[in-house]
Amino acid sequence: MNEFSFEHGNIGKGIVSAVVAGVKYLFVPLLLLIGISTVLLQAGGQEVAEQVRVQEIMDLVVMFGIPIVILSFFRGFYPRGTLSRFGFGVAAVAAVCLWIWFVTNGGTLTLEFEQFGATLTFTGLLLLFILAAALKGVLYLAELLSYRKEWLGSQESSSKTTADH
Amino acid sequence: MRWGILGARVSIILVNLIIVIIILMSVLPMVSGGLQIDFPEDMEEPSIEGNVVRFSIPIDVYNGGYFDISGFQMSFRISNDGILIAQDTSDPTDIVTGRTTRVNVVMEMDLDDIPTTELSKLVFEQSTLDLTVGVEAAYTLGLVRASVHIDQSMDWSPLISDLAVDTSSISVVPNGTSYDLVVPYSFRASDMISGDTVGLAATLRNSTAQLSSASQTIALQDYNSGQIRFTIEQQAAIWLMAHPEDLTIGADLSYMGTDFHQDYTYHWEGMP
Repeated sequence: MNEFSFEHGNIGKGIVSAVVAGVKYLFVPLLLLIGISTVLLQAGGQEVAEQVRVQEIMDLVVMFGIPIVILSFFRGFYPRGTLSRFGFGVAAVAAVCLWIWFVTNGGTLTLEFEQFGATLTFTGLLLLFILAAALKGVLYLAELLSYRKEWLGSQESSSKTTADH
Repeated sequence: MRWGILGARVSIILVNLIIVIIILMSVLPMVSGGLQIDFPEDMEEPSIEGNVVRFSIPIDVYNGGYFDISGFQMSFRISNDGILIAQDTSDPTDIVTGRTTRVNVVMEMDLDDIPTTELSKLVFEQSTLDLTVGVEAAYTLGLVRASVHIDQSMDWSPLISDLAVDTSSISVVPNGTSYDLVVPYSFRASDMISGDTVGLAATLRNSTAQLSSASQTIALQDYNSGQIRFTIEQQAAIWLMAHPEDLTIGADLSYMGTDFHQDYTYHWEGMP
């Protein structure tokens, strides 16, 4: 029994899962960054935009966002109780944690101007966000344990039915 | 009921709720003016104790937020043309929530630590110093830490200034067998060093030799004036009686191990 076989999957559920992840980790963040960048440029804050490295953050959002979308597709694609769903789920959670860390520059924001400079370090707060994201991994584990027997049972009955035929 | 999944979901919701509450409790008071910093008007003038200049800056900080501000520190750095003159950081203070805390920022500048050339500039020259003031503090149970610094130019008034020798009021006074050349001088001193002493050494020269010298110690006031009395030996006096010429009066002020020298030219018309 190959739990990673495409036969077990459901493309529709995979797409739904990928779209949800795409909205959360690609579409909304990019929209926000484009909005912030536009507002800053219109308000004469080009230097701020450059120092915040809006373009670089957008690249990071895409770079880490696309793997999250792909992994989320496979998490949604495979049914509950499978190791494949759990594996892709945990991988997606790890990617989300990396996404949070790199997009926020490890919780450090530094602005330096001619006569003024400021550094905001919110690594502690960021670790709370990462904890919240990591708890999703626990959720996937709980899901695997809860649905495992059910799924194994369904596989046994379907293989019996195939054998009977 | 799948308790494991329910437990995990509830945990996620709880953590997210805690994060949202922390952010709201941190940001709202800041946005609604919950943090106020006032510099009292009765600020003390800088003072000098020995060779240490002490700045005392009291700051009233009102923390109207929900969290204490911990480790509030102020720092300063003074430099001139890139050369460090002084830097200091205040002791960390906690600003307790819901009340105004007076933070007495005391910063000391040990003049002994300043390179002599820079100290000499501070004592005798007007200049523009580069001042960097920094503030650092942690908020939201230490989860957020902020540091801000502002770079400013600071006009520096010399501690001793406006040294002048009044060559138009020089007088010659008989002194037994020789003569005294009496030269009026004046200079100003900063309030900070009022009561200190400064050394004044002076020389009188013609084109070939030093004719006389004089020195005195002056207790500083805001405005200082007096006379330098050069005693001219009989032989030199006889020479001067018959020979009008340009004389050079060299004045040296010395304070805190630094010196300031200035030459003044006086045209000697001959003995009256």
